[in-house]
Amino acid sequence: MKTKLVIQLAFFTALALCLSGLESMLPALVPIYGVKLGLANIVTLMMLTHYKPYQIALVCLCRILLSTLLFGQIISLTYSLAGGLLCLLVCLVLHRLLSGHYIVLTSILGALAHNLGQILAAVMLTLSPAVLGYLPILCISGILTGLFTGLCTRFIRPYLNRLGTQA
Amino acid sequence: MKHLLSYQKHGLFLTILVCLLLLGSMISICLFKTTGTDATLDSSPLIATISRDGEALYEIPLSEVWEPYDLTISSQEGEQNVVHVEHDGISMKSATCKDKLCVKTGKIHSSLLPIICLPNRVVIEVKREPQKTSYDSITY
Repeated sequence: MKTKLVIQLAFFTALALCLSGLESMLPALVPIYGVKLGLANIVTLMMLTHYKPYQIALVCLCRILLSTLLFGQIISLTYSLAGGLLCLLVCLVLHRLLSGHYIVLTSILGALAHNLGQILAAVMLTLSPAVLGYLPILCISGILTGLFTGLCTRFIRPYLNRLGTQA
Repeated sequence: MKHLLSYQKHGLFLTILVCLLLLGSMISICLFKTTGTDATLDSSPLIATISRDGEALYEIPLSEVWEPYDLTISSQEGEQNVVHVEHDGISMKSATCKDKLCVKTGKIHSSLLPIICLPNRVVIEVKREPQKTSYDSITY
């Protein structure tokens, strides 16, 4: 791996960590698990066009591990990992399928996948299917927050292209 | 549809999927809401179930609770949840977790949403016990 690439990936990880830190400082709007903005996903979406899947996965994994250590509890690692990796998978597949267009749609479906992964992890951990009652609420919140992060990415991306961050 | 490129077709399909999901969740929330409030009319007893790791720890018939009391659930790892039991509902009074979302959920009195404390893996559900005589009327 070239030094330039390592530095770029480290930069993106730091950016994602800043965003998760910022988000953890915001007060929870709704007292429901899983309803959050998911600002860190902006970084994943931003990287989709210029980086290879394994590089994005690396940044994503580092971000999840570090943000859990810094801002969360160890138990929440399970939820974050399940949600984050499922979201990453959906984003990568959709980016390939839509050949890079409709970033907002990719973001919405990624957010939905994140919430679904988290709920499945919660069902596995608590062993109670009652948790599935949150699914409709998390569906709506996923669509709204995905819309927000997707629009953010759409406005940021032109500047990133201008910087010429080819690895 | 012939003039659309392959990615445009996929995009259209996925947009429809998202719209359907949005509509579906809204309808299911509305349905849940009405069944949740209608349940207050019928007189079948309310049963609260407190469980940890999928194992039921307590089953409390709320309709028979006249004096509110607190119930402490502690685990071997030192996690503690205090549950406040009342006649018309059940709530989490305090918890040793970090985010306290279970406390903020407030009092529940229907099966609409359970109280969940994910860090301590505690789930509180409320259900209506179906009455033994479930016939509306008997005709001869």
